[in-house]
Amino acid sequence: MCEFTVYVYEDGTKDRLLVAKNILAAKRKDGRTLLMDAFGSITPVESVTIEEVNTISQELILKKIEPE
Amino acid sequence: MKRIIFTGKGGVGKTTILSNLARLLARDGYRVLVIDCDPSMNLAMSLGIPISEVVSLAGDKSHLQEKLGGGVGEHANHGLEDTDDSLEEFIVQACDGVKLIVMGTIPFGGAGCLCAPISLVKLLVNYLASGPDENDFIFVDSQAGVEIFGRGLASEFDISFVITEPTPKSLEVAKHGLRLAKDLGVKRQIAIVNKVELEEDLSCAVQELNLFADQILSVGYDRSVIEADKKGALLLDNVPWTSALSDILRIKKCMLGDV
Ligand SMILES: Nc1ncnc2c1ncn2[C@@H]1O[C@H](COP(=O)(O)OP(=O)(O)O)[C@@H](O)[C@H]1O
Ligand SMILES: [Mg+2]
Repeated sequence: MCEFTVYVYEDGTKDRLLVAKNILAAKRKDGRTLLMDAFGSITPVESVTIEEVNTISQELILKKIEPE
Repeated sequence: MKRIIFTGKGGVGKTTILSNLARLLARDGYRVLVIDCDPSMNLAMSLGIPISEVVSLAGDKSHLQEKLGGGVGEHANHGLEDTDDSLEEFIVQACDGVKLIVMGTIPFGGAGCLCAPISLVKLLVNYLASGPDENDFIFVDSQAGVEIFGRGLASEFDISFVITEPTPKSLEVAKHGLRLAKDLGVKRQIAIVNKVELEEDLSCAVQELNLFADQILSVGYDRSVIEADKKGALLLDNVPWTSALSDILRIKKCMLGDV
């Protein structure tokens, strides 16, 4: 279903870290990215930008950036 | 509050059994909320409510999502009272005091998948489970097949009723459903073999399902179920009671025995 598993790439590495599962919505607010899951809870992620959104693999990939 | 899901192949009798079971429980004084998650939206009719009187969740997705989930937007945290008020408009009073919420359907060709309204139902069930104890039972009626389990809606539910006819195709779907419900940590698995005409068909079905279900019950084939459907009448309002209803009464007793 259209729920995303969210990963983040740390700067300069090829490994991605699992951030959150079953994410329905993402929104940038005050320099953070807020991820809301299917149960309504929010995972905030600091200083990232979106690298890829893919409904086939159901993945949302984030990438670390310099803090704003 | 017990959360209960009904699944099975198309046409096996999910909605028929759910609607009558819900009413029987309500007549016993239990507070029952039923949620129709099937985009065919038959449950309202089975509870005597014209679909034109129903306001579905899908009609008002973003507003309700913000309230139920807290939301990721600016309108977060309206408070519970406000959420309860918002929910009121979606709750329809059906016969015997059963309360009904309808997820909704696909509004036009090419409108997209059902993920969003189903997510909304997930948020809703979660909200109802964590809020004040206003319902003894929440029943979820689902679309044909096992897709609903892939969506994780029934995660940690108390009971999964898997309905099947005593035919190989239907039993395959039932077995798959029972396995998936187990994956989701559903606490109790009850298989119901519906439309049974011959004793030997039932024993074959029981053999097939034995490994997967905690309990297996049956409902006999009953012509009056179809007759009631044709007339747009409700089985439970039939006098005298028919055999299918006596079988559903047994399901109720079995369910309550362990609940
Ligand atoms: N025990 C039964 N005996 C005879 N017909 C039945 C029985 N249970 C259900 N039916 C009929 O089977 C059809 C499908 O039932 P329904 O409850 O709508 O199935 P589902 O919700 O699984 O798609 C309806 O026409 C209904 O009248
Ligand atoms: Mg149905």
